[in-house]
Amino acid sequence: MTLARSWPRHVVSKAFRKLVEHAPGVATFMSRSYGQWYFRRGQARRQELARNLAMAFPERTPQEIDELCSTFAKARYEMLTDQLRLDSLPPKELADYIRRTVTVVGGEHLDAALERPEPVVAFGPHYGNFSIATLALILRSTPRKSVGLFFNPPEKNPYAPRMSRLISSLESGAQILFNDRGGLMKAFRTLHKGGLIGIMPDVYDYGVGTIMVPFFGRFTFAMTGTAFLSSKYNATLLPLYCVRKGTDQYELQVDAPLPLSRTGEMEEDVWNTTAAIFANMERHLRAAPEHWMYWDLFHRRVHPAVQVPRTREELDTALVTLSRKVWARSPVGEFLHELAGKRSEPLSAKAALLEPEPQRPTGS
Amino acid sequence: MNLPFVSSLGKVCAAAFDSTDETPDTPGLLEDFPVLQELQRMLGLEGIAAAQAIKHASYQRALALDTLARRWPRKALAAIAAQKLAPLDLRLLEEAQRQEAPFVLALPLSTDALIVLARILQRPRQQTWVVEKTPLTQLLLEPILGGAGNVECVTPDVLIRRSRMREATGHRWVFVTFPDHHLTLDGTTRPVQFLGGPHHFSLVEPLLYARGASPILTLQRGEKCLQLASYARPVDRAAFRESDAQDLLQWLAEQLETVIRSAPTKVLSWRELVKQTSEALRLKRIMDGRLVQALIRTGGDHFGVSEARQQALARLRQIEEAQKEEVAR
Repeated sequence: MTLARSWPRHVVSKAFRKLVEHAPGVATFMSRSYGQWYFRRGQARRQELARNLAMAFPERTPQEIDELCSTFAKARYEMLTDQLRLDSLPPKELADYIRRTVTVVGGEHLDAALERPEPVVAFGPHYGNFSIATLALILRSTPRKSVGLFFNPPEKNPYAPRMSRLISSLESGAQILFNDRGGLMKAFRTLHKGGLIGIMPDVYDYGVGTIMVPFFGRFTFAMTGTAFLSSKYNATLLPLYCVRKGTDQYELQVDAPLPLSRTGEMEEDVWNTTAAIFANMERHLRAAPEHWMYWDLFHRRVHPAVQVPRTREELDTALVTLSRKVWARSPVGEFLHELAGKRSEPLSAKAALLEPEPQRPTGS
Repeated sequence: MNLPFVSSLGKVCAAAFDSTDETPDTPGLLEDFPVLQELQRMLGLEGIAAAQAIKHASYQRALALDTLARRWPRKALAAIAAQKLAPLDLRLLEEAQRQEAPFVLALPLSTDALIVLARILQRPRQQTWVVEKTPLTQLLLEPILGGAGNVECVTPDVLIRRSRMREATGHRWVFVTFPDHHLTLDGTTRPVQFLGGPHHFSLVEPLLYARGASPILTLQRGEKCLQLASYARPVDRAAFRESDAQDLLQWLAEQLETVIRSAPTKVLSWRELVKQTSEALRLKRIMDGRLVQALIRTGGDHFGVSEARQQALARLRQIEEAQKEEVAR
C-alpha cells in the first residue's frame, strides 16, 4: 500500500513543481523537512542507513552517525529539489542558469587539461548535484574539446532520458554515450581525437569486468572503465565534485589531475588507477559524507567480512577469514589455504555424500 | 524496511498475502539489473519490465512480512495461518507424523508455503520441528517461530547433526528445509535443472534422507490448487550414491518449479534465489579470486617480496582463465 496510486499525490506533486519554479528557497526548505521526516519515520530504513554509515565510519559515535543520517536525508531531498529546478527551466535559460549559479574552484586544472592536445577523462561520483556538475563541465569544455558523457542505458538507468534532455537543451554538441559496445566505440573515437569523456565510477555491474579495490577500509566492487580509458589513451584524469552552497548557488570543485599508474602491465595499471580514483572519492566523501547518494547501498557493494589490511597480522587474518568463506576444494580455496599456511582439509562426509557415517552413541 | 502509512496487523497481512501485484512507480536500482535479467530468463518473460513487476511485488511482500515479524512476532503465526489459501490435503503429512522416523518438509520460500507451514504449526504435534536457517528465514521466519513451541531454527550443519541424534535421544524430529535458496557453500551443493537452467541445490535433503529421514514431502501445483507430494523412491540408504542424491534433488526441483511458475510474485526473494544459479556461482568464484588479488595488491610489502606478489597474482590469473575456459566448454 503506497501513495503510488492516489490522486492527491499528483496534485501535491504538481503544486510542488510550481513552488520549485517560483519560490525555490521555500521549496527546498519544505523538501528538506520532508526528507528528515521520511527518514525518521522509516525506522528500518534509518537503521540500515545508520548501519552502513557506521561500517564506513567506525570511529564515529552512534549519536554522530544519527546526526549524519539526518544530514544525509536533508541533502538528498535538497538535491532532488534542485533536480526539479533544472527540469523546470525553459531549455533556452538552462545554460545561463548554470553559468550564473556555478562557481568553479580549481578551474585552472580543467582549463590546463582542455588546452592540452591529450584527451581528458573527467570523473565524479553521484555526489552533491552531479547533474549541475555535468552541465557545467559541458559548457566549459565544448568550445575547446568534443565531449562525450557515459550513462547507463534507460533500461538500467531510469533517469537517463531526463539527463539526455538537459544535455540536449544546452545545444553544445556533447554526446550521450550509453554504457554498451556502441557507446564504448564512440568513447574510443572521442579520446583518440583528444576529446573529453565524463564518467561516474561509483556505479557498478556485478560481472566479469568488475574488480575490487579499497574503499572506506573495505573492498568494494568497482568498474575498470575509467582507469582503462585513461591508461589506454594516456588521458588527463580529472576529479570533479559539485556541492550546493545555497539556493541557486553551487560550487564545482576540480581537483588536480590524478597521476596514472605506469608499470607497463595493463592489469596492474588499471587496478592501481581504479584504486587511486576510489581513494580520491573517499577523501571527498569523508570530508562531507552527506552528499553521496549511495550510502544506503554501501553494505551491498563492499565485502562484509574482509577489511583492508594495514599490518602483516591484519593481512594474515584477512586471508584466514576469506579461506573460511570459500569452498576449500575450489582452486581459489586451495590457493588461499596455501597462502594462509595450511593445506586443504580432508573432505568431510557432508561434502562428499558418500556412504553415511555410522551413528555414534553420543550423536555429536 | 518499513511500510509507511500502514499500521494494523490486518493491513500488513493483506500487503504480504493478498496484495495485487502492482507495477512499481519508480524503476529499480541498477544493481537489480542482473537479478532482473536472470528472472526474465528463468521464467521465460518477454521483457525486463515484466521481470521488474514480479520482483517488485515479491519485494513488497517480503517488506510486509518483515514488518509483521518485527511488530507482531507473537501474533504473526496465527495471522498467517488465517490467510486465504485453498485447503491442502494433509493426509501425506499426517501419515508421516504418525511414524517414528523423522521426515522432511521441503518448501519454497513463498507466501503460500508460509501459510501452509503456519497452519501445520498451529495443529497439535508431538515432534520437534527443526527449521533450516537461510538468509531469509532468519530475518522473516525466526522471529515468528519463536513463540510457536517445539520449533527451532538452526543452520544446515546443525540440522544434519540433529538427524544423527535421533537414535541416541529418541527424539522425533520434523525437518523443514528451503531447497531453492540456502546458506550452504559451493562444495555442498549440486546442480540440477531448475527454472530453465542449472541451479545449485543444497545437499541437505539427500543427506537427511540418507540418514533415515523419510519421506521427503514438498509442495507441488495440482490442477486447481497446491498439494503435497512425497518422495518415495526405493533406495539403499546404506550405500547412498551421488546418483541417488541427484535423483532426489531433481525431483524436488521439478515440484518446486510448478509452485514457483504458478505464482512467481509470491516468491519472497528472487535475489536469493538467483544467487544459486550456476552462472551466479561461477561469477562468485571469479569475484572471490578478485578479492584475493585485491588483498595481495593492498597488502604490499606485508605480503612479501615483489616476486612472491607477482607469482601469487600470476597464479590467480591462471585460476581465473581456467574458470572462464571451463564455462566456455
